[in-house]
Amino acid sequence: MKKGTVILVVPTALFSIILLYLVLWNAGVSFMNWSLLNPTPSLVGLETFVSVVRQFQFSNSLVHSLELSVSLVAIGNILGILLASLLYFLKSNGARSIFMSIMIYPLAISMAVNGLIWLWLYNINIGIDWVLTKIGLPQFPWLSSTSTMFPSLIVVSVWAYTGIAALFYLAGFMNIDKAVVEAARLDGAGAFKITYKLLVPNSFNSFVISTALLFLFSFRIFSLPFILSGGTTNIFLQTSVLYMYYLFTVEFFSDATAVATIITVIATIVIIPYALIMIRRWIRR
Amino acid sequence: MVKVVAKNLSKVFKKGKVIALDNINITINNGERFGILGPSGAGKTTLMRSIAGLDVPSSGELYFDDKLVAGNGKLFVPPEDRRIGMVFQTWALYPNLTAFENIAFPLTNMKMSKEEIRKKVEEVAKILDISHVLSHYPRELSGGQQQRVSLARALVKQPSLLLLDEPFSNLDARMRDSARALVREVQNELGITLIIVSHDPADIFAIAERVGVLVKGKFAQIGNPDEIYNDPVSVEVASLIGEINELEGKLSNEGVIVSSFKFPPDTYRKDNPASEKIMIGVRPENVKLSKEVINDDSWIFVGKGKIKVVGYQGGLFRITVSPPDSEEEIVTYTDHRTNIGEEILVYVKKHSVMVFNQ
Ligand SMILES: Nc1ncnc2c1ncn2[C@@H]1O[C@H](COP(=O)(O)OP(=O)(O)OP(=O)(O)O)[C@@H](O)[C@H]1O
Ligand SMILES: [Mg+2]
Repeated sequence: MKKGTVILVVPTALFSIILLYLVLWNAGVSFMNWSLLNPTPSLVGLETFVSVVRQFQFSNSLVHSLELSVSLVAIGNILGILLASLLYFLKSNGARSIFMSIMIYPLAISMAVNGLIWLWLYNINIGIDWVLTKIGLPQFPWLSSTSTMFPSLIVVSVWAYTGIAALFYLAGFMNIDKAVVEAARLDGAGAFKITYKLLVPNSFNSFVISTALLFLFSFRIFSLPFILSGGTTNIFLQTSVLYMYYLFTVEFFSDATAVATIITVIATIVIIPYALIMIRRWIRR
Repeated sequence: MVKVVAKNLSKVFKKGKVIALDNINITINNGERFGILGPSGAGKTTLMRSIAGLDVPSSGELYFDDKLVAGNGKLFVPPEDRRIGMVFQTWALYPNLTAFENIAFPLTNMKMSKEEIRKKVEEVAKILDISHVLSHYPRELSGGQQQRVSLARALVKQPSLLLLDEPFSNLDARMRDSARALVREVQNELGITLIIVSHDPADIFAIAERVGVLVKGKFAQIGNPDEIYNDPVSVEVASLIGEINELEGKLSNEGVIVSSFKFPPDTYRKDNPASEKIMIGVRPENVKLSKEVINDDSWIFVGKGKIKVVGYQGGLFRITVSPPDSEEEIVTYTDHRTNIGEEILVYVKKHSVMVFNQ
């Protein structure tokens, strides 16, 4: 083997082994019945899974996770396309970079910090509601009402993750031959028509990447609901990962790993087709 | 069907560091076929883009007929309102649309019924012989077909000005000929004003009635192609419009001396050399190589040469000949084989040598 290959293979192999070990260890534990009440675990097959799945909190949190993912994928893609096309049609390159940096800024800072910022913004006395009252509008309950809590979480995650969708769409748009867009202008098409007839249909790669990332980000989201609900126990904001962590904190170790295994399996099933599409497209080049 | 007038048109990039167009003044008449020739980076594309409205001129004015469309750094008529059909160098077809949809695209932006659009597209497709590939996507078309689709898209909206920026550069030699003929034919039929940019003189000769030679953002010469071919204002212009042998020589009272070659005064085309250092230009077709003495007044002996390179091109031998012990080279074409290293007599045609004072 060439030296370069060895340099590449060794760390990759090490990395894969550690990763695989962790996943298998996690899966292994989920087939046991290890918990605070049972410190000497034994293999119980699928029993832990069956009991976990029967819990109200399990389906409740899974529904939340899926709702959040679907919302973020849908809204994130639409807003991402919108923002990217606004940026695309900006004349000044400088302004474009500035706006783009602002949009991906939430990704650069810790999601916990983002959560804290929004905790302040959602505060009924000093945040957005303060502005609403000032201009004579009624207050919105945000996190203080059980029915608006979850939409509020969606708003924050959209705010935090739309930037990355916009980034990928902008990159996709910029990749399209400029002459094609100029030809469309000469043909009398406006910015809106150019966007939906040419820019978006020719940015399929951007769609695949941004959808895959938005799904992963939202499905494994932790910090935002954790901070916004002030812990792991608020069933209106509990997502699957939060529930898993909750089970862990109360020392239901096997239950926690069973949830983790289910999360991993779902994420893998959803993500694999995207990965395949991308790989096929890259190979076809 | 529009007259294009540029007055002191300039375009700079990078805050004035790059001057792409430098005070261009030109009038392109209604229905004219105008060619733009120039070396790479001369500003040809920039001029086309300015006319199309895709680039905003930094200063000067641009008129369509008598209407000011751009002036002093502002766009008064945006590209979509200029009634321009443009064929880009890369053709710029919409990759996600079929050939039919590509051609129909400009029409869908006008108020026109589907039926009418279909009729128009099929009509222009028939003229350009692409009716059978209308359902194909651009990537499924051959180069020549893509080019025709691009031309069809430019023509279907009945533009008053057709801009072609190096439209044939991606075609092979055979396709080029038919493409040139096609463009001429279409222009002739529709009577639209046509501007074609190319660095291939063959395109210009085949299509343009008048040609402007753009060098460093300025028109070095404007005239009909034959005129520029025979009476270029500089060696550079001469070489842009056709192959030419450039030789640097010294003036003596017997003519221009280029190492052991001597070009006597009756070889000069018209200008008389005035400076001591002279640049002369001889077209390959005005050079003749012979093993025997030629007794013909129209060919003038310039010296004995040695054959350096023999190539074969287009059915002819391409011969490079030099004066013995010298680096100067003269290229010409003959139909009979000669051998490298052979000594040969070099003749040039009477009144064919261009003289450029330096
Ligand atoms: N967007 C731009 N930014 C900066 N400089 C530019 C830009 N467009 C063109 N230029 C410069 O302007 C000059 C003229 O460019 P232009 O593209 O018009 O040349 P051209 O004659 O079309 O050349 P070619 O035959 O290579 O296509 C070049 O020096 C080029 O580098
Ligand atoms: Mg160019």
